[in-house]
Amino acid sequence: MSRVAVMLLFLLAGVASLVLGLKHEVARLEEERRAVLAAVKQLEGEIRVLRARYAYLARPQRLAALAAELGMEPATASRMVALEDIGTRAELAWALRVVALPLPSGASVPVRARPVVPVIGEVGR
Amino acid sequence: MRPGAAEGDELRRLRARLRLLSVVFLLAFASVGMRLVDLERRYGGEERAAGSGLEEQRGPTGAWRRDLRDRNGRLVATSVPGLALAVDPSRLPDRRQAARALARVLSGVEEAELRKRFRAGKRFAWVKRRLSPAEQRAVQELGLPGLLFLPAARRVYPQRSLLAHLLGGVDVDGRGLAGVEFALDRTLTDPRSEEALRLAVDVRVQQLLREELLAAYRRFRAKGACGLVLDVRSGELLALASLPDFDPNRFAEATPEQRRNRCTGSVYELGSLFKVITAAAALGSGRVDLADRFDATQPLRIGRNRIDDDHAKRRWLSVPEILAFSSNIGIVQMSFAAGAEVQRRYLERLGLRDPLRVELAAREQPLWPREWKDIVLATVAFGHGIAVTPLHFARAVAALVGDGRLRRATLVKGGGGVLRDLELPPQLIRDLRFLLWLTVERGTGQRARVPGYLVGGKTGTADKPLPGGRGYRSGEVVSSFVGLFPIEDPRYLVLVLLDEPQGTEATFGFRYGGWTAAPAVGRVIARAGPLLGVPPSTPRARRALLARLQVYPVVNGRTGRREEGFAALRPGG
Repeated sequence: MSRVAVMLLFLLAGVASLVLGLKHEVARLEEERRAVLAAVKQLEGEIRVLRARYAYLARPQRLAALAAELGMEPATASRMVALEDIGTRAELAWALRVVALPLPSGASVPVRARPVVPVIGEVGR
Repeated sequence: MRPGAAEGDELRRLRARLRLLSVVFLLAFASVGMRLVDLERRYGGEERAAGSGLEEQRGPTGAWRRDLRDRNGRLVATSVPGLALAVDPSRLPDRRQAARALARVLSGVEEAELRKRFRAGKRFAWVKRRLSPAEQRAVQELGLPGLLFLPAARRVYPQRSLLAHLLGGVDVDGRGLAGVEFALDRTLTDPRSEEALRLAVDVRVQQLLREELLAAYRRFRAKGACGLVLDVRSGELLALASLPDFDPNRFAEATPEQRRNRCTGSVYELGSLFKVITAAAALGSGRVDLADRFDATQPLRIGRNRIDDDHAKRRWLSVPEILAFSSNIGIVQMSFAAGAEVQRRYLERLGLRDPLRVELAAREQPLWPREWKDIVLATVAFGHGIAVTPLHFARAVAALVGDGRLRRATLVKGGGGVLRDLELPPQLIRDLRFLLWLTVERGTGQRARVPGYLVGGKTGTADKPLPGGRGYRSGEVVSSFVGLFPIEDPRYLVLVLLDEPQGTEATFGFRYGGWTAAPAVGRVIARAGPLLGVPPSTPRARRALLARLQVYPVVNGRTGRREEGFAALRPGG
């Protein structure tokens, strides 16, 4: 009887230490999880700071100054042309072709056709 | 059995039981010991770090707010993590010495103020709400007990003063105090949504508007300035700037004058800008026609009051000429022809009596005339005796010259909506576009012309009223210009207003809207148009407007001889 009791006690002790070990493992993992979450939170914070910094560096006022330094200038309305106003390849080929125009004197002068495009400068001023 | 043997057995059993009991006790103590080690490992560290655990009572400081982005996704406001410093004064060994040490390492913190906060018996006192990393290190090196480093969200505005009045600012607790931050405080602090809120503003357009506005504000040494760019088709505000402005990152340091939003938080008598509305009412009433002419040879007398023109022609003027040359005499007669009831109805239908509904803290109510006597009707016709915010007016003109629908002005992308359909005849809208184009092409707004775009607009120069409606200040004016482009089918409205500008040598001392505000609007249109992808106006659109000019010639002279008018039509004339 007492031998069985002793064995049971040892078994109990073994199980208890196992449970304790498991508990410690869970606690360790929980701590690790918490540390990872904290690191994620910190990184998210750092990303937010970096995004704010990027927005600060890419503010239009600064970009305009940098663009000017690089010799770039903003587009004007007169540089904009609608797609349908650009001639086709055939029209371009025709415009590039040099035709000899006979003069009354018998001589001839080379001429080229000018494609019809809207003169944008006409508008406004 | 011998008695000695029985005793020996009993003794052995007792010893075995004692050993068992010792093992049980040993195990029990071992488990208690291990539990203690466990507890120490799990909570001991945190207890040390947390001090008295007061942060759990106070919670984090500075509310976490949603990011704000412009219409193209550029970040304009964000919250970044930071630290705040508090202390449990009861744990300080020497409060006076601690106050001195902390004040030494922290900027903007007074020793006397800290001593006051560290009164005996208190368990919590703020030291500084925004701690820089360097300050955090310096404080830690002091090695004082009872210090609490608390997480604190900090609102950051990377574009600095660019969007000052539009964004507003927040207090140390992260509560919105002005601008969008105040008006949309609940939406921005809603914990259920973390997504950034898209505003209608375009930072590129905002930048160029503010740049041109600032240049005009400085050049004409104005007391203040307002500028805005409104999408005529949606009511969205692409840019809104008021000067002087401030850095929203330092909202607390801004003066009341800097915080004043002149576009929505101040009402102005806008002067001749109102002639657009009077002309719309007169033409819309059917009692005035574009071909009608009015006598502007003499100043008008209404009771004891005399109404004269700034750019007097001293002859009969056609309706297009009245607008183009901004004739007070002519517009008053047009207004009288339409009648007070029509004029009032138009003003009301255009929302010029309603409170402004826009996502900003600063929203001023219009000042409406108490009674509509003849002199009131006359002055309202050219924008005196009635005061509205520039945004009220911009919204109204956008409705008149756009598609005839009054829209809610909004700072949130997709936040606009039709308030009411004015049910204007299409011909009236076309006539108004023609009149505004004419004003820029031949009239007082010529300095707003832009190569590539057909621009329509109206100049305004108004005397500033004395407080309490006791007349007007001499020598102080509000100059403005409202421009729309492309006028053949308006997409955007640009308004610039200068409060008390001073004339310069280049303007020959003139402070008229046509000299001060119109060039700024022209430059904004020239720069913003290509950026917003507005195609240049076609020669056909220009020809259509010029053809109407043949029907309603505008003569820029005093004699009124018709030849002069046709001379003006010739190319280069």
